[in-house]
Amino acid sequence: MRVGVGLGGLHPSCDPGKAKPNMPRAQRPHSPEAELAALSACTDDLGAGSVLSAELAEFCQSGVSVIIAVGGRGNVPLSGQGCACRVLEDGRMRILLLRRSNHAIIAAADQDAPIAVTFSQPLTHRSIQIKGINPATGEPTLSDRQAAVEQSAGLEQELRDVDYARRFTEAYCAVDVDDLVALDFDPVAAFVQTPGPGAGAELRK
Amino acid sequence: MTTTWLPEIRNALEGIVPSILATADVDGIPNVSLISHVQYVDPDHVALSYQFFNKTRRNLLATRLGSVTVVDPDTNAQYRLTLEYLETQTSGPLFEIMRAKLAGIASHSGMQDVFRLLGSDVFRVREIEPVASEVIARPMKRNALAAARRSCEQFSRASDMGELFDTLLACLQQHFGIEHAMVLMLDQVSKRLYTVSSRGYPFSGIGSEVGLGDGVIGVAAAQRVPIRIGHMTSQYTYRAAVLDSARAAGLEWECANAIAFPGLEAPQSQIAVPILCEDQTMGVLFAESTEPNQFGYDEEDALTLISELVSARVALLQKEETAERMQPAPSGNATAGKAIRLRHYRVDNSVFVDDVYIIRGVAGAILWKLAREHAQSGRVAFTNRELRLDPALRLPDYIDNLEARLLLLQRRLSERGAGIVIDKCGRGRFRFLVEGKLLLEET
Repeated sequence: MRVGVGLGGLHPSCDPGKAKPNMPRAQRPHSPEAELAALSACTDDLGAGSVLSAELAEFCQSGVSVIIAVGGRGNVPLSGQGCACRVLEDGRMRILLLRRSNHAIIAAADQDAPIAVTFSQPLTHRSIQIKGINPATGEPTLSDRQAAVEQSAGLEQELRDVDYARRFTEAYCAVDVDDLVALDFDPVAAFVQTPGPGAGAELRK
Repeated sequence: MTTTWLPEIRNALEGIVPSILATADVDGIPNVSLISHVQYVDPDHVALSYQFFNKTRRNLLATRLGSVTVVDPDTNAQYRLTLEYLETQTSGPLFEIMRAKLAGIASHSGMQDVFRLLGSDVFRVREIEPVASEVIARPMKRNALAAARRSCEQFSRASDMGELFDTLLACLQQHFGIEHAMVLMLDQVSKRLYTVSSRGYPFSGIGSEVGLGDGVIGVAAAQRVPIRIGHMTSQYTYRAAVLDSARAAGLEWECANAIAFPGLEAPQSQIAVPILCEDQTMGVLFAESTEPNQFGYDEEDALTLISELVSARVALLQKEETAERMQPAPSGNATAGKAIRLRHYRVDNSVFVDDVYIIRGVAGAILWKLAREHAQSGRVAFTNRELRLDPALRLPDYIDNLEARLLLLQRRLSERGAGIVIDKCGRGRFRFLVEGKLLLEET
């Protein structure tokens, strides 16, 4: 599976017969101010050490783009993509990613490299970054596999809604459940990353 | 092991699928964000758009290292590039190329009020690593190189500049499938570009003007690099360009816009390629489409090649013309018939025929000179050479574009049915034919 969020447009050669709507996407884009205001208004008790409100945890698991960075060898960062996210009962986060696309990232995580994951919604540009420590990789559960399939399908629908051609989104969001790896970590901070004034602010009560 | 070469993966650097940028601070804490596009610079370098002073930027300045994953929107092939930050450019060709492209992406994604280019961050590409993905077949596409070759073969048959430009636009339609295109030439004196040939519009717009630096056409001419945009953006439309011009145009405003620009109302894709002569802008080849993302790196390369050949062909046509000896100038007797009133405004050399605006600038000065000589002596035959040598016309010494100005004048007179015809009668010679009696007024 390949997931991602689209800011660009449909390439005509992706689907030559497809009509191309002229409506711009994200007509009501999300904003950093809205994110910070929502957190202020949130009545959730996040609890000691928790960085995610229930709403943010739901957003991360809602079928959005999941992109990853880890510190690689020689402090050279590595970029990659995940398929899905799960927030575990003990507060740890689990990213499901394909082994064949992410060998270097998995190897760095096994070396205890710190991690960053950004969740981004194509329709609104709403983006949240989570910083994590204590990574560990393992085999995914049946529930993990189901989550990967469901969230990838959700992202694919969003990408089609923002005008990407089906033949591209199907390849981009394809999931091979037998190739999945679970990457767990402790989230230690969350930041608003929606483009605009206020982007980069830490999300904390 | 096969090494991936950056030019081979340019299609992944179009900004159609956003890229993933990872950085880290000096303590190794990573940061990851989506970026609108990675710009291909040359086989060893790319550039990223610097839009906000954020964590990513702080990390890049501190560690000078980044990792970016890019996606080919046609095949879903993916690559991870290891980047080393070199410098930031805040003006110049690369900056303008990226600013135009970003404007299109921002507009398309509803972020036109948020995305703003502050600089072009240039990186050396240290490594390109293919990332395993589900790759799909690349869709069939026109071969731009073959189309360029077929076009170039046809250029050699053109015997004058008008035929050359018309052939060029016909070739774009025939071989590239480009339905809407035009050629504009630069007036070095007024620093404005004027349309000399167009194809695929409801009206020709011959003589319509674009200011140097305005819109994709003006920016391409000013920066001497191809500029292209893959989506509709109001920032780069002709309407926005003429509004910019209006602020400084003053008296010239009315004439500068008296001829409507023929461009599409809402183009989704635009490309402007400068026609260069010894690295100086001679004109611009402009094409546009109602469909998004029609002009990629390959089309840019092909149209640049074509423009190079057009430039060489123009130079050759001018050389052949200049080499011809000046012919004696016989007088005509076409002073009978209806009265044709010409009014000339010295302030900008604009010329009106029976109250209809025809032309201004150097082309206007040429028309006025021809009309005066014709009215005084009945003279009909003229040569390009004598115009070139006339100090009153103030043609620039270098790249005077005289033939393009005459072509413009010829086509404007013909379109307006002014009763005046410029009839080419050999290389470097033409006849000034008047279907009546000229009455001249000067203001």
